[in-house]
Amino acid sequence: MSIDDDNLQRRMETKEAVEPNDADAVAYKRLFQILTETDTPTSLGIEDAVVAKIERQRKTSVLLDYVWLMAGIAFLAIVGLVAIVLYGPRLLLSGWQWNIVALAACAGVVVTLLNSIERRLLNR
Amino acid sequence: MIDDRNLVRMIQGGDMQALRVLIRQHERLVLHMVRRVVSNEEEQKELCQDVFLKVYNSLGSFGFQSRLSTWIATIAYRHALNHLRVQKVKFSDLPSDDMTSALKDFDTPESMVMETDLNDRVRELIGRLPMQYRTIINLYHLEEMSYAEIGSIMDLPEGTVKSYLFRARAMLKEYVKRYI
Repeated sequence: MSIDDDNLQRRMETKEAVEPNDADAVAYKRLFQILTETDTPTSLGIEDAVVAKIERQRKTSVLLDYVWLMAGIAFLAIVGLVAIVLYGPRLLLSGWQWNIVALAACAGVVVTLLNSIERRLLNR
Repeated sequence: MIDDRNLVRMIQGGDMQALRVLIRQHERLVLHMVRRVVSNEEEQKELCQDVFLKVYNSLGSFGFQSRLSTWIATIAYRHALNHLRVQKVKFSDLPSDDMTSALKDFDTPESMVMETDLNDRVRELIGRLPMQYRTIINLYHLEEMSYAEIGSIMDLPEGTVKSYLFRARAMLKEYVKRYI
């Protein structure tokens, strides 16, 4: 690229007047005109499709959350059952006697509560 | 007209109407970024949708360090590059010094004789340029972005952006000169 080209382009960018008989200047003027014209459509009409994709994504994510929650509860129940089979239905913790069923119910409530808190925080 | 900060806040609050406004405001910019990557119109639309999906999912990480349009253009540019990589389309990441190779075989004597619209011919020629050149031309002339903004989108120094743009225009000028 020559120095003339460089100068001409700078002048075109700042919209300075150029020599009308200079072939390069005329060519640049025409080129800048073409470059600023667009053949892009004004609207693609993709808003609905994007919103639909987001809704789908959200539904899948909620479903996945429930799957994880159910898997957690199922795991907890299995562990509880194994514990009952191995150690009997009563548990001694720090001097308190716990009913294993009450303990499992309590754990279920805690898991559900944590899940709903997390959900609220994530949706902020 | 809602300003960018309010628009982003509304979308984060779950306002889908605000998201539609954001899409309408930026769809042309996104299309400019992806249209040279794929020629098929349906595929272009699909890519644009994916870009806006990414924008929506990443909105929480946007801290207004740049203009919203610059940030969206960056996502669109990276998405277009990834698409090329996935498709394993051969493209020149570092444009060759021999820019005139884009002109090679472009004009047959027949096409020179045919009175095709010069605008269309130049657009077609731009389509033959390496991706970085095309993107810079589009962002500078159609989106009226500054060298600094283009540099931040494409992760290039400002001087490189300027040099690519000037070289591409000098080459295109030679072509236009033949017609006028």
